[in-house]
Formats: sequence, C-alpha cells, structure tokens
Amino acid sequence: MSPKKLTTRKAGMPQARSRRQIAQKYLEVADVVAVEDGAAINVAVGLAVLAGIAAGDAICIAAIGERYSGSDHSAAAELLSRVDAALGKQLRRIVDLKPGSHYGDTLLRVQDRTIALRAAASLVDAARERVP
Amino acid sequence: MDLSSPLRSIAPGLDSAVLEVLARTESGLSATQIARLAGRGSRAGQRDVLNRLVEHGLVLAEPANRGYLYRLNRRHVLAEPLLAAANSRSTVLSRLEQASLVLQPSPLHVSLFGSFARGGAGPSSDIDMLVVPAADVADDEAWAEQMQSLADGVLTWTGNRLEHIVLTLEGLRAAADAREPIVASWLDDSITLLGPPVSLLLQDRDVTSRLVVPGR
Repeated sequence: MSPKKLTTRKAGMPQARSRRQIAQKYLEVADVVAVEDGAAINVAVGLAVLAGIAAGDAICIAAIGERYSGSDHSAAAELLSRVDAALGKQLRRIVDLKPGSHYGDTLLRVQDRTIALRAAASLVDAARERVP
Repeated sequence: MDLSSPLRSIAPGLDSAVLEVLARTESGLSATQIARLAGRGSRAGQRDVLNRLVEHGLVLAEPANRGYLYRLNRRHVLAEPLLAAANSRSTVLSRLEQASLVLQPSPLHVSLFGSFARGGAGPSSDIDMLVVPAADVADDEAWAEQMQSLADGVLTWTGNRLEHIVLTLEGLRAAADAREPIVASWLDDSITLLGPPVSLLLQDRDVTSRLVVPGR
C-alpha cells in the first residue's frame, strides 16, 4: 500500500471512450515519429507515456468509475495497478523512462523506445477490449 | 518527507527548526546563534519554543555572560529518537546503498543526484538515481521488477518517489560526448552509492576490465 493518497475524479463511459480514443491517437503519432532516431526517440517515448496514461484512465473508468486526477504519472500507474496489476506494471515501465527524456536529449535509446511503444500498445489494446 | 529537514515532517512548526540546530552540535548556542542558524521563525517564537523545550528537559539552558546558552540534553530519553529522526537522511542513504548492493546483475555504478544529493530536497522532491548496469538490461524483466521494487521501497521509507535513469557505460560516455547538461550534475553534485564515481567511469576507458563487481 502506497503512502501517497491518490486523488481521483469520477467519470463515466463517455469519458472512458474519449480517453481510449485519445490513447489510440497518441500511439498512432508515436508510431509515426518512431521511424526517426536521435531527438525523435524522446518524442516517441513522451507520446507513448501519454498514450499509456490515457489508456490507463479509460481502463480505470471502465472498472471503477474513476480516473487519477493529479499530475504524478507514477500515481496514475499506481491506480491502474489496483485495477489490474499487470497493466499497472506496463504503465510503470513507460513512466520509468520519463527521467531519461527530461534530463537530456540523447539519454534514451532505440531499445527504450521499443519498450515504451510495446507497453503503450498493450495498454491501448487492453483499453480497446474494455472500452468498446 | 522533508528530505533536507526531516524533523519538519514530524513537527512542522518552529520546534523542528530549533531542534535541528541543536542536534547538529554538542556545544551550547545563544538564542541569537540559534535564530541565525535556524533561518525561520521570529526570535519571540523561538524563545517560546526554547522555554518549552527547557521545561520538558530536552534542552539545557546554561547561564552565560548575557542570557543563556542552550544545548540539546543528549541524555534525555527523547534525545535518541530525536537524533535518529534528525539524521534520517543518512538512514535513507544507507538503505539505498544496501539496496544497490543486492541489485542483480550488480551495477557498475549507482549514484544519487539532483536536489536530494545537494541537500535541498523537500517533501515533494523526487530522489534521483543514476544506475550504470554492467550489462544491457533494457529488456530485462527481472531488472525492471527490481527497480520497481526499489522505487516502492523508497516511497514507503520516505513518502518520496525514486526516479531513476539507467544508462549503459557506452550511453553514459555518449551523454558526456554529447555534452548533456545533466552530466555536469553527475560529476559535481552526485553521491556515489556503489562503484567508482562518474568522473572515473568517464576518464578511464578501461575501467570495466579492472573493476571488481560485488556478487559477480
């Protein structure tokens, strides 16, 4: 049990669908950017984080009628873990890459992008299944 | 918790400011010195705190030429937990060091950087960690689990999040070659928990062949 209080916001299925659609769009754009290396790796990972967060929101809303409402992405992963531990872990894998993109332009590698896109795709797939 | 002023997490008022000053020295301090070193609160407020702490026996007041000299009563039953709380930054460092030692595969290097390393971290600060693994662990599930478990541990110990950057030695050197600004922080302000310091990793290109990596 985390010592942090997770702030949440109530939401219904229309919002879940909207967050799922946004997640899909972020992932689509991330896939487009992923053909470039260099600084574009940071962009792709950043978009994968956003896709994962939005997909996680959709999944949480569908399951418990609430989504995380703060700005701490790790806390969003924590809320998702309470709904589905395996999916929460996937989101944490992406969120863990954020410091690499914050602290520099060349710290993330192609392998990091691959991991981020793979995890984001799993989360978006799960959101599609749970939020038709 | 307030990582640079841990007592403040327990006692957010002026008491923690006064006690932190007194916990740092065994010598007696005047009220003026305490006010200067505490850096917060009014003199009147601090005098009230000192009077109350003297009343409770936790602070000793010794008459001096002008006024009193105050010192922490280190034989008071509350002194030990108080000092432990005041020094909890060292406890956090020690736990992180122990946790770094059991990571598998053993990293070449683990250090802390950012506000915690500089001593300026507050209650909402993250603890920033640089890990240079001995092998490429980018797609290693077991490694990811260990790092998540360590982050969970730090959150439980402190209430603060651990943010980690994992870079291979090649990645670290590439970042230095690319003049990434963060490298300066790793060189200047970091606290090494395991392995040689970043400066040595960057200077000595043969360092890996001569390193004795624990547990390997």
